[in-house]
Amino acid sequence: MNRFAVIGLTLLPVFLTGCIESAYRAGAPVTDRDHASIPPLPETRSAQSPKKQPRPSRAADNQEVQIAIYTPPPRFKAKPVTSAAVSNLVQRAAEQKNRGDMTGAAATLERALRIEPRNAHLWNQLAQVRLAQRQYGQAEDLASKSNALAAADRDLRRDNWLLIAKARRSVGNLSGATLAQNQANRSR
Amino acid sequence: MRRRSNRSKRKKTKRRCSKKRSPWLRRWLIKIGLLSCLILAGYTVYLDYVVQREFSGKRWAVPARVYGRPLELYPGAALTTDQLLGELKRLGYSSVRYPRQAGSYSRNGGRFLVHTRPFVFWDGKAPGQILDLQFSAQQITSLKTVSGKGVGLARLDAPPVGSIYPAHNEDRVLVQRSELPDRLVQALIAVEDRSFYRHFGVDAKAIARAMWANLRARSVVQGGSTLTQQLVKNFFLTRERSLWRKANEAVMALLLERRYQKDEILEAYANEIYLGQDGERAIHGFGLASHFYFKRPLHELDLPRLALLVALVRGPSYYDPRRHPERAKKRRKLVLNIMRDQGLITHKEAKYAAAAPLGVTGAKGGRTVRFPAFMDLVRRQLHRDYREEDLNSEGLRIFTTLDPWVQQQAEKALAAQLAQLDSGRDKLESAAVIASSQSGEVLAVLGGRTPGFAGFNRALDAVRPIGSLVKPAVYLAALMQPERYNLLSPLEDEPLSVKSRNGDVWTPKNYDNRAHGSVPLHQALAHSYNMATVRLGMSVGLDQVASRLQDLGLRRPLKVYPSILLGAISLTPLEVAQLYQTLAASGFYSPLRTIREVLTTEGEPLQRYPLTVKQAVPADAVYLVNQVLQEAVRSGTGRALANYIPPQMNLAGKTGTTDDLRDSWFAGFSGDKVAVVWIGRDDNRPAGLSGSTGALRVWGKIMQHIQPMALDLLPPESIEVVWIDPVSSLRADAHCRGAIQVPYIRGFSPNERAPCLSKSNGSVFRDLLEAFWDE
Repeated sequence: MNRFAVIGLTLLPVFLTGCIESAYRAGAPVTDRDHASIPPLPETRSAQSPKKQPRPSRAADNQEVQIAIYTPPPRFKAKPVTSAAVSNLVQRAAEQKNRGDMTGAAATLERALRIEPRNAHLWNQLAQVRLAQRQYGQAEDLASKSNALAAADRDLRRDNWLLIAKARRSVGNLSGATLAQNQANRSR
Repeated sequence: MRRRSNRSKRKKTKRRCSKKRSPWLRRWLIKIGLLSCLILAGYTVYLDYVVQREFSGKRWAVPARVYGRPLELYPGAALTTDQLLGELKRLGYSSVRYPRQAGSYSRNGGRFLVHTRPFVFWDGKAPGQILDLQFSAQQITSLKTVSGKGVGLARLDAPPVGSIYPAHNEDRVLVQRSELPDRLVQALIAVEDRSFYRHFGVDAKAIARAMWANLRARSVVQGGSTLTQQLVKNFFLTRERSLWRKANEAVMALLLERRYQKDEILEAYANEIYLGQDGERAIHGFGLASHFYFKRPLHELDLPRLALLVALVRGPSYYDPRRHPERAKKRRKLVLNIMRDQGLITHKEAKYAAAAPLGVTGAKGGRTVRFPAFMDLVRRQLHRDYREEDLNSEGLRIFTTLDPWVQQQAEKALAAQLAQLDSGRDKLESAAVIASSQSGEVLAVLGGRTPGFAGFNRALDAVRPIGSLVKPAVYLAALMQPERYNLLSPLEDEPLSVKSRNGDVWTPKNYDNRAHGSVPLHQALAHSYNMATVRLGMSVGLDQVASRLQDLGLRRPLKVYPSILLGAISLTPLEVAQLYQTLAASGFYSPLRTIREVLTTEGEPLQRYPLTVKQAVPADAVYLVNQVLQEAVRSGTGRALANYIPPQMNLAGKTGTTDDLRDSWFAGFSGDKVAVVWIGRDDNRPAGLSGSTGALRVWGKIMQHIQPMALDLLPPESIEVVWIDPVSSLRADAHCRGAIQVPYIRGFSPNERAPCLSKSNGSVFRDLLEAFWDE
C-alpha cells in the first residue's frame, strides 16, 4: 500500500497530464461521425413544435443525446494565442508598470484583452498590476479568472495561486492564503 | 452739439412758459422725462447684462461628445475590406488617388493606404500617419508605414457617435479663433461684412448699400447687418421681423463691440451661427456644420467646401445643399466670385471651385442620434457620476464601447428577420443587446425594430417574463451541490402539483405536453423540460435558485415563488444579458459597461471605468452548465441555429418562451460575445412565436454577421473528465464499447465500475490511478 502510494505520487504529474490531454483527444470516433451526419434542419421547422417534430423512442433519444453531448468539440483555433499586436501591448504595459504608471499599464492590458479576451497571461498581468496598486480583492479575482482560462498551463496556474496567496495575506486572510499556497505547490 | 444746445434752449423756453401756465404740469413733464430716461438707461443696462451673460456664458456651453470604440488594426486582425471601408466612411475619410492629407485613403484591390488623423486618446496623442494595409481572406495580412517599417498595432480615430446636448437641442463643435481657416474668415468677411474690422457694431454704409441692392433686385438679396448684429440675432433666436427688434439688435451690437475684441466676436460668431437643421437638432457653428455636411473637421475642408459653409450663412434651409443642391451651388458660386473680385483667390481657383461637386455626405434626412438606444444607456451610466449640466456644457469627450459595425450588422439582421416573421397587420417588436462576454463591454443595443428611432427603448425598459432563460440558474444551483447532482443524475420528468404559500396549486406542463420519464439532468436542460426542472428546483430549494440568480447579476428584487423556476421573473433584455455574461465568462461577473474613459475638452484624462471581474459562482459548476448550453444548440431546443452558424463554432444558448407565446427569447454566447434577443408585442398580446421560432432566428442571423469566435470551453482545474458507460452511468474506460467522456467536479465522479471493466482488460496504470482516487 505504502509503496503503491509513493509510486502513485511520483507518477502523479504524468497521469494528470495524461488525463487532461485525454480530454482533448478526438474522443469516441463513433459519435463524431454521428454528429457530422446530422443534416441541418430547415429553417421553417420549429425545434419545439410538437406537431412537426417526429419523436424518437425514449431510449433512443437518451442514448443519442448522451453520446452526442460529451464528445469534446473539435478544437477550432481562429487566432494565434499571442499575436504580435498583443506582445507589443504587453511590452508597453510592462514599461508603464516599471515607471509606476499603473493606471496606464491597466489601460494597455485592457486594450490587449479586447484583442485576445481569452488570453490567460493577460489576465494574470492585469492581476499583477492591481496587486501592485493594492487592490487585493480585484487582484485575486483577476488571478482566478486567469486560472479559469489557463487550461493546462501549470506555470501560469502556479503563478496565479501565488498571487492569490499574496493578496489574501495582505488583507489578513491567512487561512485563505495557506489554501492558495497549497494550490500553488500542487501546480508545481 | 448744436442739436443739444437747441434742445436745452427749447427746454428753457418750455420751462418759462410752463412756469406761467401751470407748475404741476411742468413738474409732471419733468417726472415723465426723468422716468423715461431712467427706464431707457435701465433697459440699456439690462441689455448690457444680457449681452454679457450670453456672450461669456453660452459661448462655452459645449455638449459632451461621445465616441465609439476606435478600430484596432494589426496583422492577423479578423477584418474584412468592407468593414474597413465602412469605418473609413463613418469617419469621413475621403477616397483619393494618394492620401497626402490626413483623413483620406486610397485603395488598390486588397491594399489600402490610409492617412490617419492625429487623435487624442485616453493614453495619449496618436500622430497621424500613412498606413499601408494588405488584406486577404478576411484578415489583415500586413501592416506597415509607407516607408516600409512594420507596425505591430495601430488604431483609427474613434468614430463620433453622438453628443449629449441640452433640452433645447443645440449641438456644437467648438472651434477657436486660431482654428478658423483663413479662407473661411476671408470669405465670411467679404460676403457678409466687409468693414467688420473697422465698424463699431453697426455699419450705416452697408445698410444703405443693402437697401439699394435690394431695391434694384426687388427682393432681399443682401442684408446690411454686420457680423456683430448677426451674432446678436443668433443669440436670441427670434424670427420676429420688427423695427423694435432691429433697434435692440443695434444697441446690443454696439454694447458687444464696446466690451469685446473683434477676434472674440468672430470666434463667438463662428460657433454660434445657425447653419442647418438635423431633425430636432439645430446645427450651430462652422465646427459642427463641417461634421454635419462633410463628416470631417473644419481644418480639413478645401476651398469649395469652405465657400459652401459661407454660402449657407444667408439661409441654411433655403440653400440646404442636400435638399436644394442647385441653389446651394449657385450661392456658392456667388461667394467664390466675391472672393475673386476682392482678390482673395485667383480666377482659376474660383472657376475650379465653382465647378467642384458640393461634397456633402449622403446623410440626407440624417438621424438626430444614430444609435439612440445605445446613447440612452450611455446617458444613464453617465448620470451616476456626472451632473446633466456638466454633460451638456463642459465639452467632455466620452469614449464608449459601442462597436458601430456590430450595431449596424445587428440592426440589419434584426430588420430582415422580423420582416420575415411578421404575419398579418400587427408588427412585432424586438430588442437586443450584444456585449463582449469576458469584459462586459456593451457592443450594441437595439431598442426596437426600427434602427435610429429614439422611442421606447425596449432593451432597457421592456420588463418581460424570461421563461426558460431562467433554467441555467436552476441547474447551476443543482450542480453546485456536486454530492447530489451531476450531468447524468436522473431526473423525473413527470406531472406534479406545487402548492404555494397562499394555497394556489400550480401544475407545470411541458411545452410538448408530454412526460419524458426519467431523463439525465443534462438532457432535461438541453431540451428544456419543465416538469423535470420544477422537480429539480424544488428539491434544490427556491432560495438557492434565487441566490444563484443574484450571483449571476440580478439586481431587481425577486419574489420567491415556485413559478420562478420556469421564468415567472420579469427582466429587461439588458438584465438578461448580464446574467448570461456571467455564465459566458465562466462564472466571473463583469458589470455591463458602456463607458471606457472620460476626457476633458482639452484631452486631459478625467475618469476611467476599468474592467473589473468578480468570481460570482464557481467556475466548475458553470463549466458543466455551459457544456449543456452547447448541447442545447447542438441537439436541443437551440438546434435550429445550425441554419445560421456552423456547428463547429460550438455556440451555447438557451431559448425562452412565455405563456401563450407572448415573449420569444434567445440568449447565448460565443467565445467572445454574449447576446440576448427578445421578440414580442408592446401591448403584451401573444406574438405567436416560441424562443426557437422567433428570437433564435434573429440571434442566429446577428451572430452570423458579426464574426463570433468559436466557443472553446476550458475545463477548470477542479473538473475531471472520466470515461462513463452510458448504459449504467458507471465508470468505464476508453476500451469499453460506447463509453463516453463526462466532466465531473473533481472528487464526485462515480467510483463504481461498469460491467465492461470487470472483464479484466485494464492496465496497471489505471489501477494505480484508481488507488490514488480512492484515497
